[in-house]
Amino acid sequence: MCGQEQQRSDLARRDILAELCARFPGEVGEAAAPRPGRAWATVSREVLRPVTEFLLGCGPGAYLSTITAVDTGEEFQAIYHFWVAGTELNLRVRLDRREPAVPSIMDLHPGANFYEREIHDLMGIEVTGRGKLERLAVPDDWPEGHYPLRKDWPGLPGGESA
Amino acid sequence: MLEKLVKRSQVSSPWLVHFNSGACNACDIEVVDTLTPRFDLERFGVLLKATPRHADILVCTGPVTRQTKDRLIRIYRQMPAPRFVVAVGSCACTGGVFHGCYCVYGGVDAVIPVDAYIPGCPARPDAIIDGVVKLLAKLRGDAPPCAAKNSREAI
Amino acid sequence: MTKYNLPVGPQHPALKEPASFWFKVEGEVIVDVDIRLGYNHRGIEKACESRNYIQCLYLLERICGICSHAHTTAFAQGVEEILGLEIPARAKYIRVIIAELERIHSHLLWLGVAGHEIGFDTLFMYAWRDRETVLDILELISGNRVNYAMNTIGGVRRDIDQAKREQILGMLDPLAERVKFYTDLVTSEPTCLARLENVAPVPADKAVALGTVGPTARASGIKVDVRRDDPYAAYAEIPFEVITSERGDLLGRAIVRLGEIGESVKIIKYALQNLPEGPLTVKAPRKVAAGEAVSRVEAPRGEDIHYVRADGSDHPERVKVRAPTLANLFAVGESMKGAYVADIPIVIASIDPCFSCTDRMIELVQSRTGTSSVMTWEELREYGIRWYGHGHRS
Repeated sequence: MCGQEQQRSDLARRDILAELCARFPGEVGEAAAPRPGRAWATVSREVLRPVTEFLLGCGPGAYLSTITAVDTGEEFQAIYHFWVAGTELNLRVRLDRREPAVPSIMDLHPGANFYEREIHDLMGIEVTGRGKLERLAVPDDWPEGHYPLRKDWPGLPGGESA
Repeated sequence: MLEKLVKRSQVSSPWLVHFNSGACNACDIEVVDTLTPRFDLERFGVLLKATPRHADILVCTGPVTRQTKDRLIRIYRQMPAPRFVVAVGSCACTGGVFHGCYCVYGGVDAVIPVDAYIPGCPARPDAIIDGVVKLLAKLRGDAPPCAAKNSREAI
Repeated sequence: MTKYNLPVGPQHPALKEPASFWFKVEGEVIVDVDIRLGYNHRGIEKACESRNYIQCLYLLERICGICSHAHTTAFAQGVEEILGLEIPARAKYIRVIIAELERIHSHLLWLGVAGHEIGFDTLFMYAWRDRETVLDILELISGNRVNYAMNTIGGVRRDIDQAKREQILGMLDPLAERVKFYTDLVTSEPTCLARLENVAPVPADKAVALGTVGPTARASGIKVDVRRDDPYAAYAEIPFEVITSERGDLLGRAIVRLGEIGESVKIIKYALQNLPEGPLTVKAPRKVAAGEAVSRVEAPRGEDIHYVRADGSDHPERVKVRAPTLANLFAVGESMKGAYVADIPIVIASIDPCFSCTDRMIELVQSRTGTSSVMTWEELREYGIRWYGHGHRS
């Protein structure tokens, strides 16, 4: 088992949530760490880009796992799942239903490309600051303005397919 | 005369083309498995071809999704007649667990006519071989080797 | 030089994301790539919202038939985290055993496909024959070769008794021998070296920026492995090495995957020999209290991440799945810039999107004259093999 101890020691798990709160005082809400290796925080979309830049700079190998779009009924949420220094930091951005848009982070992290296209396709969240969002997940003949993961999505016109 | 020749060659060496219309891969790996040493479908003269224009039998896996529907029809039309379609796996037969999903039309028979259904999730290689052999018997005009009377007319 | 647009795809039965690639080529060299997904988009995430948790488990198992256990493990773990359930130790070990068997079957499948793509069909047949051993073990344990349905919320559904344990241990050793043989073969056989060495490399910094995961990242020298970094199930108690390679090229990916098979065999042996006694499940309530969880699993292709949000009813409010191929696909697209047309099949196969499907239409459009010719995937594969056969690159 000694080899395994060595393996683990190169993983310095930092308290990334505390660092984030210290770096952006007053900007980070609902900070919670339910268990080791998991952290949750809420930021506004205005600081999303600086926060992303900070997180990606936190140690080697920091990357964006994916972006989840959630429709709670009252609002949309875009949850950015970052793997940073031994912690899965889930960064929530709350969005108004009437105007769901987030700034693109593709220039900071090219790997975000597909995830931004996906939340636009399926939840209709606009991503600003990058060119046209090409379709990624939905079919070519999918009607405009239909976002299947929204809770109030009525289904396809004419009850097409299933 | 020509028809007889075509029929004879189809029965002795049917060429397959495999199309995934939205499957989860499980049936696809089992279809490929039938061609590898353990099961070796090629001993029946079956060859997997790359293009529908060379194929006698279209092996379909998976439910038909919105995006693949037109492509499935196009591939079916590209095949020379007489052509046969085998639906492999529960999804290809009926839509399976994906029945009711917004991007899924249902089984393969929702889009093109199907000659043989091979159920299973995924269909085992043995079942696929059995299905193909029964289809060949049907082409030859024989009664299927073991006529399944009470099950839904599987082949 | 005339530029061509070269569409590859769409029929590409990879996990839940078959892809269509659009290459812009100048002569033999790829200058730009665009990727289009969605051919297998079935709407699973939406479908989960109208099914109860147990039904979801079986639906999510069918996201991908190759890494089905990874998806159900990720989902079950997420739900268990919301419920605050601690599953029995024996269940954790059994989850590990199945996960590692799945990894071996997936990597051997990949080895065969890679062999096929480079025109080395003997390797394809050999690897798939040996893969049958793993499928036999899985069938012995679960009753099915693929889609094992072993997980349930709160544990696993089937036990591995003493007789089965001994039988499985006996089957693993010959497999480990074969893997050693393949490792020697891939690293010394001239065909393999010619087609894999220094092809489409992804340097470490790029691999991080593009968000690669799993063997694709590890082949670029990045030591990421959810099993080690964020241990789940019983991985915290089982010793194993994380295999990496500094090469970054296709050969690196082959070396990493073959190395991982060896580690998986060791993990399975350890888990079988140290299988704790006890029950298989704890009782899970039908309704799940409001909450959310993020669950990560090291699938054969890399990090599989599920987000589950419960609202107190018996069905989830939101399930989000990010399968590893989505993370790797973009990187592989980028890595192909500067590679040769002849390398397209093996480079796409190198991230293990799945076995190469037999019919993918490739359309060559000459942008100047607008004429187009259609090639199938198979023809492109043969083109690649011939091209190398004529010694264009030595």
